[in-house]
Amino acid sequence: MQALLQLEGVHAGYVEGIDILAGIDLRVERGTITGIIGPNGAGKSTLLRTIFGFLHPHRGRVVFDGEEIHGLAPHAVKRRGIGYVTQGANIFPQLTVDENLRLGAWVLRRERGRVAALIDHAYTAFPRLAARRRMRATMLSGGEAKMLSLAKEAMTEPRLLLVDEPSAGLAPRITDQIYARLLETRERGLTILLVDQNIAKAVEVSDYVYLIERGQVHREGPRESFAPHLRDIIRDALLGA
Amino acid sequence: MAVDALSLAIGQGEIRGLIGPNGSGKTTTVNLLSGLYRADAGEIYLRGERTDRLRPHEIAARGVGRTFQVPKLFANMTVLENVLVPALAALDRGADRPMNEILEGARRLLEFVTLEPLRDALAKELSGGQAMLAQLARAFMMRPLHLLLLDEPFAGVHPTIRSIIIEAVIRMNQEEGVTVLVVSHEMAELRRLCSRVSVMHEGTLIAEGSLDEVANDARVLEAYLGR
Repeated sequence: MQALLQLEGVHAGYVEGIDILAGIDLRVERGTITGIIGPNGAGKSTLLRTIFGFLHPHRGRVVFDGEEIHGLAPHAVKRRGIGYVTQGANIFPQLTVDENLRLGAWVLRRERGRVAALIDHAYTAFPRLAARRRMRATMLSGGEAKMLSLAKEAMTEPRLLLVDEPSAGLAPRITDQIYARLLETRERGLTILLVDQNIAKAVEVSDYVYLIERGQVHREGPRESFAPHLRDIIRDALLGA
Repeated sequence: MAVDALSLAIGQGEIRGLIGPNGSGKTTTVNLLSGLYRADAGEIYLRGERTDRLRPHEIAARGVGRTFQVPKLFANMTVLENVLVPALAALDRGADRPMNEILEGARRLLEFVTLEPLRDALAKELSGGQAMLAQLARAFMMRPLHLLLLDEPFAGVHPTIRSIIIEAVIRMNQEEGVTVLVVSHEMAELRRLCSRVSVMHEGTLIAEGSLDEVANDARVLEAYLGR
């Protein structure tokens, strides 16, 4: 079966002559969590930015559900069913939690019943947000702000969610909650492409893992093939091997 | 707390690497050493003199130079003018150095980092790698220069420029005896630069030694695992 997302030989970068992605091949299967790990500067975040259309590859193809999407602008990528939870909290700080969620559903604004149901659903998934629905987002803790980013991006019911560093800067207890939500989201049939610095956690929740280094896939395989070798992988990275 | 009870000693004439997972406090450490941040507690000494209550320009005057991960240059000044800044600041402090000697020094340093052809270009026109080289030349212009702090000098920099940076830093270390602390995630480059690295995690020092030693340290592996 065709993968939901497929990258073939993708080269991309910010400056001419320096490819941050230097020929990436990658598949994201439907209904799975695919994890991307790798040292700093390996190109993990650039990969997500390229898929979402912030960067256009100068070589290679990005295929989503059978359609080539490289070269499309971010809003067009989003319309096709891809959501992008960026690093940090991508929310409107001066608006309330409720207003943030409504803005997340902006493209559906004429379907009032559906939006109401989606908001109900977000509050069921994130009870902490329900308790703060009239609070300005700037008052939220780091963990709550991250939950709001996730909930807001999920409002359009994307088929693929790109998630960048969901645990960065958060306390371990909060991190566990965020990951629990991601796993629940997968149970509901959503496909997730996850980038994380927290290697242990990323491998734990992913079905399939890619290790990328210097813009190329260095190693790939199902979780089981990665989990026992994490220390070796880190050691190799530290040794500059 | 980004840096919490960190104890770190760097020997005179050493090139030391500072590594650690994201958010471990490496850049904060550089900011504390250069006086951009002030420590809530603890003491910092440079060549026996306490510096943690001094302001950034006072620390610079004592011979601490630095570069920034995202280059900080005077965007609307030329490359040469940027490199002249430390020498002009020294004149302002009362240093006695003839202008023609300053200009000759700046020209030599620009040649040293391969930027001489761009001396009259505005700093804002430089690529990221060229801006990194200009920052390096500006730091080298400091007199005295005892300690050079490099924050991620290789991030997003072309391999050719990486090599120029490495060669320039090694030469300044060997010929001028400049001590260097370099924060980087680029292990291959660190291996070429320094024989010893310090590893930070959650604001504190967790290991020190050669790259081979720290890569086999259980605490270091756990830190990079994200635990």
